[in-house]
Amino acid sequence: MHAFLQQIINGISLGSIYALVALGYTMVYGVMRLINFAHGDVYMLGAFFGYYSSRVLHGKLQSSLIETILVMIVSMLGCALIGMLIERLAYRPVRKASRLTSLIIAIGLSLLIENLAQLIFGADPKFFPQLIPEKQIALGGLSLTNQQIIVVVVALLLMAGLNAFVFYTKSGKAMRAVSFNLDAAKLMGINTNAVISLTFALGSALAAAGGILVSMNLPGIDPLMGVMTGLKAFVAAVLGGIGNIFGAVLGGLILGLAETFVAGYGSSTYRDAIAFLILIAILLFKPEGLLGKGQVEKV
Amino acid sequence: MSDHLLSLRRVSCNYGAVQALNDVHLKVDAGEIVTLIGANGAGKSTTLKAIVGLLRPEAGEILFEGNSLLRIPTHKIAAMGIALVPEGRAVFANLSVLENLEMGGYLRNTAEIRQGLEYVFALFPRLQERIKQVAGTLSGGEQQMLAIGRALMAKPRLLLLDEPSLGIAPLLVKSIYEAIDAINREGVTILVVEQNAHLALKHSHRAYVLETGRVVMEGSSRELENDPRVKEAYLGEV
Repeated sequence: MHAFLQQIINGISLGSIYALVALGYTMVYGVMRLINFAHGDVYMLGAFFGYYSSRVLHGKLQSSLIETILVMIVSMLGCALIGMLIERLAYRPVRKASRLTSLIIAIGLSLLIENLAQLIFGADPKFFPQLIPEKQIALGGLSLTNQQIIVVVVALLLMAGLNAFVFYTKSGKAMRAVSFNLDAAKLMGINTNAVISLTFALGSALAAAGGILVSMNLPGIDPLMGVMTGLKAFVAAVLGGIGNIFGAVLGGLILGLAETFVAGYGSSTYRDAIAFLILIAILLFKPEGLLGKGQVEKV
Repeated sequence: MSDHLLSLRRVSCNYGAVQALNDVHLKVDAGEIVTLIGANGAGKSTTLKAIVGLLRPEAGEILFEGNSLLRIPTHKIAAMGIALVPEGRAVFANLSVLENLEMGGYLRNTAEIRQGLEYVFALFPRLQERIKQVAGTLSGGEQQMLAIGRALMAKPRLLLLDEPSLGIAPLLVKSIYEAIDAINREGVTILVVEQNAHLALKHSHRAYVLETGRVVMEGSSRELENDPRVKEAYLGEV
């Protein structure tokens, strides 16, 4: 029983990371009908921005909490900017071309960022500093770390913030309007380019947060760390129903739990395989995803 | 020349290889209701899309209050005071009735949005009853009211309507056209595209007849209602 609860805690902690990254995939898909395959690499950049900003900030501040928050903000802002640049330079010029064009650009861009990162940061893993000293917390025989709690709490706060933004602010409503009908949104006087740019910024900032939260637990960061996480978060978004914000969160949690249970009760050799088994199963049996609406594609 | 509210001069537009508009001349003066009638595929919707910049003409000029619209992005054309109620209504089905109306007033401030809501609810009381409802669950007629209300939230000077009677119960069609007349009496200039020529001519001052992308007739709606060619081709009378 303890082992079971332990796996649930680990799964939720891992799943909230997938959820944060999956949100970026799903939001961008919502407004542009595009899978931004470079999104996993933005997550990697988030970890590296965190790494470098913590090296600059380390020891200059009294409280490790303030340092952590600052590192997080710097990295999120940096990635928001990167996300906007990606949209402006790589996707906007081909928005009217066929979808295959932007898909190929997405894959090429992902490779470009990964290789540039190896060139700039070096291919060897770097050790992410412990922003907040790790503490074990015993909870009725379960072993929890304060880091795991931080991951879940920060992820929840960010998701609640995103939810409030999307459903209750003018820009959030405009984003939903754009994702339903781009031309109709233009007719309202909505600057749809600005809304799409904002969507990339938000999604990328969430990915950056995910990158830092992961690195706090698993401190080895390298330029290819975004490949597997990016793919899994993509699976999470598809599982929940791509384009659906709640679906991305649900998909992320299910994937995180599935992965920890496979690793815990089966073999950790197969922990990566489960994500792709889920992807194949969902595409075969419920391609619109758990919460997705079976919309007929208009051609 | 430029004292018309809207004028199209020699506008030609292509949809891929197909020429959708060919040398179209058209003008709308402030305060009028002008209608554009013609068969399916005659280029009526294309004309409206070209005005708001969702399609760009290959040749010709489109002027609004003397300013060319050809290089202005759609969202800025909206800000100039032109609102389009698109064919098939295109309400934001995932947003509530209130949120749809708020989007219509996207460029306006809170006080103006409040005034706009009062005006729209007075015109279409049904929308107020359904204020929290998700727009996708409304009936066709209610969606049309919402689409018109949403356009009015921007307080446009020129309202473009694309087939407002399409797919709507006859009883509601009547009340929608009464609303259109009422909107016009408030000083909003209207250009309406319609397949139902009877209805369109009855509720307009002037009319243009489009055939395969060309204007083949124009005149006052009373004249055209009595023109034998219009009667035969569009009013089903021989």
